[in-house]
Amino acid sequence: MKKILALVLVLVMVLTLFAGCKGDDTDPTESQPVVEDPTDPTQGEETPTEPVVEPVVLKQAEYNTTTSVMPSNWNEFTYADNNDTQIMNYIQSSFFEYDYKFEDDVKFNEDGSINKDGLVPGAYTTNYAAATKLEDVTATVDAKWGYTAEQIAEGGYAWKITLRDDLKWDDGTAITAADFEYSMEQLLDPAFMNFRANTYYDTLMIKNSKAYFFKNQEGTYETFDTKGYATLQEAIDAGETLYVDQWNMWGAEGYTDEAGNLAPQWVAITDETVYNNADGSDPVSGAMLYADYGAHLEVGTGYTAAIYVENTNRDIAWEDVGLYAIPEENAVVLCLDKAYSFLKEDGSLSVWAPYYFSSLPVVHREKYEACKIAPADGATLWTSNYNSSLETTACWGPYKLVEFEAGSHYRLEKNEHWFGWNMEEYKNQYNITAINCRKVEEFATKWMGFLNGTYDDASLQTENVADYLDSKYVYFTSTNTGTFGMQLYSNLNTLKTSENNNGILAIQEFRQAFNLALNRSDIVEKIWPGSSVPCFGLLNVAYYYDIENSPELEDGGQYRNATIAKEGILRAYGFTQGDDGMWSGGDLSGLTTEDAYDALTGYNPTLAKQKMQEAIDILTANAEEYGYDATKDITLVYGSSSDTDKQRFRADYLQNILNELTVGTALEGKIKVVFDASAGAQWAEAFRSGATQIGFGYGFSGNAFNPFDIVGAFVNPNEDLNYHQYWDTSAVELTLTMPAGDYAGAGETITMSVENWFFCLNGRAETEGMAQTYNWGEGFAPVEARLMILSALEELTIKESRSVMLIADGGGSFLGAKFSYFSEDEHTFMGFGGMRYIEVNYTDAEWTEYVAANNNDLSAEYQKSE
Amino acid sequence: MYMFKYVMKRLGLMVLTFFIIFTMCFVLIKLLPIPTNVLPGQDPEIVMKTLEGRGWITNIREGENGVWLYDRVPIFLQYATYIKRVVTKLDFGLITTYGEYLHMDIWDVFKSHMPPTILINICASLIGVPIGLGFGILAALKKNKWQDQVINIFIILLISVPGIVLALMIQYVFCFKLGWFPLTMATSNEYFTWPVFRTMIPAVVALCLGSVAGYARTTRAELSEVLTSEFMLLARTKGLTKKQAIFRHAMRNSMVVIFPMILSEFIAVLHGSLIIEKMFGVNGLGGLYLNSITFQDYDFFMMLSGFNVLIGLTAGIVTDISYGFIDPRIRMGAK
Repeated sequence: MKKILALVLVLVMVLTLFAGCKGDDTDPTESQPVVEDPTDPTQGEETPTEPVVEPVVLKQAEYNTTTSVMPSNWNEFTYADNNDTQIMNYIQSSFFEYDYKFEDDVKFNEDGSINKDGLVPGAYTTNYAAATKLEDVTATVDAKWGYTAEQIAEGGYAWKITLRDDLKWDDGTAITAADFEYSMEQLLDPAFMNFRANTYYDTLMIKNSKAYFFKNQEGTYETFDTKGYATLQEAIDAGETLYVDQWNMWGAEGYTDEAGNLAPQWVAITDETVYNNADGSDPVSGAMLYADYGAHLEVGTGYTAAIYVENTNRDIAWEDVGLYAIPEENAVVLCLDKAYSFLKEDGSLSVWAPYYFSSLPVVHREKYEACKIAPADGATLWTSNYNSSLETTACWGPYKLVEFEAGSHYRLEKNEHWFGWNMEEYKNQYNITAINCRKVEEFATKWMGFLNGTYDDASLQTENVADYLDSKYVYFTSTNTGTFGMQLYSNLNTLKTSENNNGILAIQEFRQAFNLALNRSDIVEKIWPGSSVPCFGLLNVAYYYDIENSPELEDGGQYRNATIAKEGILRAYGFTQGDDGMWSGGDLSGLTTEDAYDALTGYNPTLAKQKMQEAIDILTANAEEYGYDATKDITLVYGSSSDTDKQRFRADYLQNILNELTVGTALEGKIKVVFDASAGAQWAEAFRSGATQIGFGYGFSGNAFNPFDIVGAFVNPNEDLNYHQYWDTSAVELTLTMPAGDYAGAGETITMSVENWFFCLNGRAETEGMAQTYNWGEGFAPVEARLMILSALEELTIKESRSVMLIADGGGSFLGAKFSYFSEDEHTFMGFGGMRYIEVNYTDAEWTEYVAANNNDLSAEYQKSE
Repeated sequence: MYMFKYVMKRLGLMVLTFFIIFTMCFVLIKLLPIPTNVLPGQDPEIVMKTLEGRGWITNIREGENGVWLYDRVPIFLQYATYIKRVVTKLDFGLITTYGEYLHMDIWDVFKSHMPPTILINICASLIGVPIGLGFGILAALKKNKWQDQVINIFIILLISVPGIVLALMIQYVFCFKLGWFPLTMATSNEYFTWPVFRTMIPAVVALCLGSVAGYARTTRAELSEVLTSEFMLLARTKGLTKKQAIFRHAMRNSMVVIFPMILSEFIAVLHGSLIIEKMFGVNGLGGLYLNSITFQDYDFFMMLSGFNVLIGLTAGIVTDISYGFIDPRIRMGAK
């Protein structure tokens, strides 16, 4: 008995010893790097009376994902698309960041875990990350930057960013303010012409950066209206030499003149030199293009004539560019051509600081220099292979690249040199120890990999939507800015010259009838099931007119939810408001704005029929004007990028709509929709030239926080995105009575062109040479006034029915059971919390056991809705 | 000696054929229109300079109107430059348009992607040949008995079901349901270690199933015919055992047809691995070939075309020469 007791005692002692040793046996890669705070006055002091709270130990694990296309170039200067940003997102850092907002700003519980219960829904904070201070230095920068007294008083043009002292590359090399100056100089280097430089010369508008970037260019061709001429004739009368782009307009690229000289892209409209193709069957000259197609060279016709402008800024030096470092303060100063409100009145960061100005590009000086590639024989531009392989990559984000094999896989691990580990704000976050990404092209392989626990995410697709739509593991995103719809070409000049007898497209009533005959719910169900919602306006819910105060505002600061925007949409789709403020439309009446908006389907067959009859009356009464021949069919060419069953289905769908719309009218059975995919990837150009008249499934997305700007894609004829550049909005007048207030034009009833309204709304009327130069840009007019203008522009555009919006973008994706997102609700800035906040439910070892316990098949689990 | 002459003659012809096919490939891919699209926001000058850097156009100059002019480089001049570069500098160029491998050295990409492709094909042949021959021999020896019927059903099944369906079934059953193998091949380059080799097995099996059926069917047909030949009766009457007669005489005679088939199957398998590589995540050459055409990556396409043509032609020669070794009565080039 004594022996047994002794043995038990020994066993207990040994076990105790093991338990005591366990704490020292932690894998260093499995834990957060911890840095002691030397300034902490509590260190070394005894606080015996307070209860000790055990710090939380969060699970950590590796994240396994897939990609269909591997990234190839994650160089900030030249990256191409979203495939490249998948690595960039992890290896870079920001000066300023968004974060969730917690009640009383208490982010952490006592044990160090995140105070999830204290999360304020929809709210956010903006914080310093790689920077420690942001100052508006417009008033104190050198006079050489040329800010006027007015600009100095206004502020927001010059900014000084002080950086943290512990910024480092993953190899331990320090990153200083001078590196940011060096990097910008490299980005804007005219010898490289880096693809991404436009972000800094066009968007951020660093002083003289554009001139520096293009200093090797001798001159440019600029459309004549940008030089202040309203018409072609006006420019000619002023003695300007006008040029036409004969490559784009006539396809004359590769043509030669009699002497064998190749046809230049731009040719003067007075130049009579004839260029021809190889068999001599297609002669063209500048003079001929002007004589025969002069009408197509006017503003907004797609082929606007241009004036050659010589580059007079060819000797600009780097010192003249508005970005420089102050090494002794480890600060960077930016002098901009545009004012930004990066700081609030109380001096804290505004929403715009992280949005427009998250960081500046930075490259590892030694590596970048080593990666420069001299121009190939005969070429002049330099290139670089920086950040395109493991050896050429430098990281300063929370993760670093440790494996990369082109066409196969990459692996990211925690970067021990990241400054964030020294910051309290990042405590107990980034619990993903490594990210493994494997290239898997086949969806079936990817999906099986998700179901057997190999991969931690997957997308909701047609193949799995039926069984998994209600899965609790699916997260739906709704904040995509994409709106998609149908475009109807309606430039009468071009329509008349075609053989398609389709001048009816130029009649607004016909387009409205077409629009009102579309049942968007049916379209979503039949054409885009599972991934979209019907959309009636030009802009969907992702556009915010006031993101700053979004959580406090009744409509969430979303333009689409603003009452005035809803009223505009209702009017556009045929609803009318009575004197009592109630709405009626179709069979509905006596509805409040909210109820009417909820009842809106955009589908109004009765009104559509009525509009159709009006259109037919106009067409037959003005047959000559519309080039209409009643003995012929009307052909509408549906242009598509590819010849697929899905695309053909869309054309057939539209044909059925038109058949129904014309039943019992003079045009019954006479309108034919013809499918044409011959333009392929050039479908947009084909549509803009009028070669096709119906485009389907394309729209716009843009800056989610600026609906005022993106509407330019519909009403600004000079906007590249605009599919209807022929629509001369400078000739369309709009009268609005401005709300009362303390701003220019308040309370006045003003009439001006649609184009002018748009530029006033964006504070660009003066620079664009508009007749009325009100500045109602952000901060210069109350938001009610701006919303009213925006809503009026939207209503007018919808009524025009050239752009008929049909659906808003969205989508679902799975996150496997190994992890949970921090937030169930999608947050405007934080999404579902991302890698930073993701919660680990199973460590790697536990996950293997869990999957094995489910016989390597988690499909039953992933189908659960609760 | 005549054999040597024959081989030399065939090699000479091979070089000539290679050159003709290679030239045709170059001309055909170059006949595709040059992608000169300038995207919105993109600077046309950058596009022009890039095309110039690729050697498609030359003599970029600013015309009197300040516009960019260029001359197209004639295809045969481009070809001469290309051949000169390859022959004198062994420089196959850089990948210029194929996004995932942009700016990478073509030879390096080719080298890194070749081993998995070659390896899974060799393994598929090593497994497929004995199994296919085994089934074929068994079926021939047990002609019209139940064993033959079972093998025939098996063969018809493998031949009639498309390879992609078989591959999907293998992946579903063995990788997903049973979990014996991972869904995709390991990313490590240590191909000859068991953990990596194990991940290759599903792709190898999927790849060899089609050839197994081919070998079995041909072997059965050939062997059945030989077994009914008079010399087989003579062999038995001479006193040879059935086993001796089959392996020394019947097999050898039937191999005259079967052996060349093995070589040609190897080539076919090499081409057919495209979809298998995609499904099982094999980082091989299969997908690259198709994409090099899609992206109009001329140099990369030429490198891969050259490789395929070379393999095909070499296989042809080896097949022809192999006849002589299998059946001494066949003398290539003999008068």
